Amino acid sequence: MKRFISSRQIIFTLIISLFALKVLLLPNLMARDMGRDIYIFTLFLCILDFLVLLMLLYLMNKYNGMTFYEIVSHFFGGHLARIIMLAFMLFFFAKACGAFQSAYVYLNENLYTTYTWLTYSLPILLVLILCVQNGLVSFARTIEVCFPLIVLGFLMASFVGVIRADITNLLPVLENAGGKFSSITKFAFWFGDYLVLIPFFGRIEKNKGFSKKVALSLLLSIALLVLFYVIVYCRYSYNIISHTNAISDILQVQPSSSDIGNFDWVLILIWDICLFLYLGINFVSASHCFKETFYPLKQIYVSLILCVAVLLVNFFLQFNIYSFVILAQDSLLYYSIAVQYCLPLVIFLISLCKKRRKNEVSLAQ
Amino acid sequence: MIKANSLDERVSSLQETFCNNGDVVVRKFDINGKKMALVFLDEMTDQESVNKNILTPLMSFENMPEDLQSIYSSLVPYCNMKICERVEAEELILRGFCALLIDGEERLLLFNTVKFEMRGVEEPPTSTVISGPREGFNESLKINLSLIRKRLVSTKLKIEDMMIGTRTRTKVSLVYFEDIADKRVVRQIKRKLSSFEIDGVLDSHYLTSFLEDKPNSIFRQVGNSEKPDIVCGKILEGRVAILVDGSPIVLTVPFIIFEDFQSANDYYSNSHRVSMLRVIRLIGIFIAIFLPGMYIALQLYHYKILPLKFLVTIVSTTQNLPLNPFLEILFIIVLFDILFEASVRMPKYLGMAISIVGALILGDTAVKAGLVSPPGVMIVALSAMTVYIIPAQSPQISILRLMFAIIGGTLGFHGLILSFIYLISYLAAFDSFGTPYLAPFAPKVDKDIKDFVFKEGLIRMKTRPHSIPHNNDIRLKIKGEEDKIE
Repeated sequence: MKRFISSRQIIFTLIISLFALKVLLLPNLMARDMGRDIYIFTLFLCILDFLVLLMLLYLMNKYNGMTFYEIVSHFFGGHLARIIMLAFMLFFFAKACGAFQSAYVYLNENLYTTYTWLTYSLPILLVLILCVQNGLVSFARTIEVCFPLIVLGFLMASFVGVIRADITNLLPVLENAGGKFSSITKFAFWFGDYLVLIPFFGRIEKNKGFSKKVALSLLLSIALLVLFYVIVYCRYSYNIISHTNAISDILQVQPSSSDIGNFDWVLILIWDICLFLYLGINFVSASHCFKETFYPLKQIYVSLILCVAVLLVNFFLQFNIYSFVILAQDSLLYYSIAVQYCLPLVIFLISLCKKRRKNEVSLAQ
Repeated sequence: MIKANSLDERVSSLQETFCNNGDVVVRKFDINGKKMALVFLDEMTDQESVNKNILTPLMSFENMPEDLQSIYSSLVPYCNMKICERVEAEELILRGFCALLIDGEERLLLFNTVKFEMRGVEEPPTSTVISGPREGFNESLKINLSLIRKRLVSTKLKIEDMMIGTRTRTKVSLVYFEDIADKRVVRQIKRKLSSFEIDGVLDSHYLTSFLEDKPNSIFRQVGNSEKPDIVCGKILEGRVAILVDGSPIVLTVPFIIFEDFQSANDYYSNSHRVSMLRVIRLIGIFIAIFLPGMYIALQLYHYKILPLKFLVTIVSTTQNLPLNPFLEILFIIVLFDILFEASVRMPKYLGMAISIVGALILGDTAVKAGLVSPPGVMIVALSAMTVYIIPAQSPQISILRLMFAIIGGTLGFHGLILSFIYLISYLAAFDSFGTPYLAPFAPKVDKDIKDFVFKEGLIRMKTRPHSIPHNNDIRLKIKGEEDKIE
């Protein structure tokens, strides 16, 4: 059996990327601007992301067997390609920092009474380095093993939420839509996760109907995500802004029972797995782009550099999630829009115009 | 270079080669003026056979032929004999052959008179079954091969011999189906086995380190079994069996971790019952590895999530303990491992006494003395029991249990989660001869899921496992259904 990444692993990776951060603080943040229409605007941003995914799948199919760097350097030449990879690297790095910060807040609020940043950071970064060291294939397989647990956790959380949801909280729909729409870009940073496909270019064992399977699975996942937003808002209405972690807060519907205890901790732990995997995916993607930009470096050094950088960024943000939110909605906003929407669009448009040379096809195959 | 000197000189030279040991028997005789000598090792050779089948026909012959070839082809009624050079003869004598030296002949005539004491074919103590064949391998390569041959009656069964060990010259046999096993896997095994020079191979376990990709890992990457039916089943799936003379353990490669979750009984029982048992084994493994760590983490970091009644019980039993929960559990784990080691090494008649001392006196007294709490003892006892739910994995599981207990005590549930993910990632990176270690789960191999956690009936097992590289996919054809098989 060849060490390829299966389409199933790719789908799971993309679904984890879609869900991981969007079910934590984002409903809270969006509700401040969008109110009861958060699910509609989430759907809109998800569809934008989906279009980016389609572009990436098109590139993947057209340049079958080629890495993303090879494709970009084919379009723009080596130097520009490196700059583009550097841009992607910074994007993934920012995402990883966000995931790192969110996981810390998530654990501190749900599992630990006091959890110092050092006790949190060192083990997670160590495991991250070791996992990345095992390689992309092994990481994809890890995702495959953990995925059923994550789906189970998500579905159970949604089900628990449905029990106390009041659908009338969603009415009226799209009140003051123009004003809400103008602030939609503020949340762009929490989207654009399908770019994690970049390190997988040229390494996927594509079977029949690969693109169709990926697209359909992601459409279904988007529907589930939007449904989750509906449930969350129906459950909490305007109180949603006091809930920092939607997925764990929705679970705490049942007060501590003296018989079975707080059973929600199982689901909380499951989401901890999801957050780590999301962090890992972005870390892997960042280190892939890093290596393409500065290729002579060994994986272990790349991982170490990125870990130290993640730690430093979070240290300067004082491990405060709201400092990160301000950064994501302010300084990082235009950068993330440029990288996650404009850059893929440009590459896609060039690929439409450019024919693939015969010798490249044979080389890639 | 050995020259055709006089018989006496050649015999002396041969004796010198064997360090003039006392167990080298030399029987010189003369037939029709032709000087001859038999040389063999006393304890390795069947002397009755030497007398009856070699000496008697030779001495009863009136016209002794001049050359060795004539004796070979027409004189001695012995089915297993060969003419060979001195160097080869030395090795065969060491293995229990009897050598006939003839004056004026440089070469020797060797008779297979091997006989030494060995264990019979018994049920292996490590893998007893409720139903199914009870035969087990023993220390004789010949018998072990016969046990396989008798089950796999096919001309396509390939047995390739190798000699490993400069001083033991241990015979190693690779057994596989020529038309099923993947040639690359066979080549890779041969390359690995011939890539080293070792003085001795006393058991098949000596070879595992050379076959494994990560020999320093705590996880084994080579399968083994003492039961011929299991080994034959694996050969039929496209694996290669490695038999070592002197070892009752047969190695099989490629290996996947879920092989250990399967038991010989699984293939002779109802598939629904087997599926249920496999789920129980998985739960058992989970308890064995995680329970002590989770218990410590719950007490130290996450006590709020415990049910109130359970929390009250724990608090009331642990409040006066001199050790904190972390040290308490580590103490009980180490105590249990000491007891286990002692009972394994003790003579059998003392084993029972050790169990009584360990379980009843030490455990009970420790609780009464307030050194450990009853829930702590129960948690470790439950985990210790489940460590042996899969005997082949018990060494790994007991190491992991200790590691997870330490991690649970220092980092809580988050540490356990991280370690779990790293464990999966570590195992996912393994490849055993082109087979992913976590197959058919990661990567998922749809066609192999039928014999994974949930086992389907034999009638559904129409193809060989796709996780294992092989050249022949079909293993079951049902008449009238041939066209439906993919």
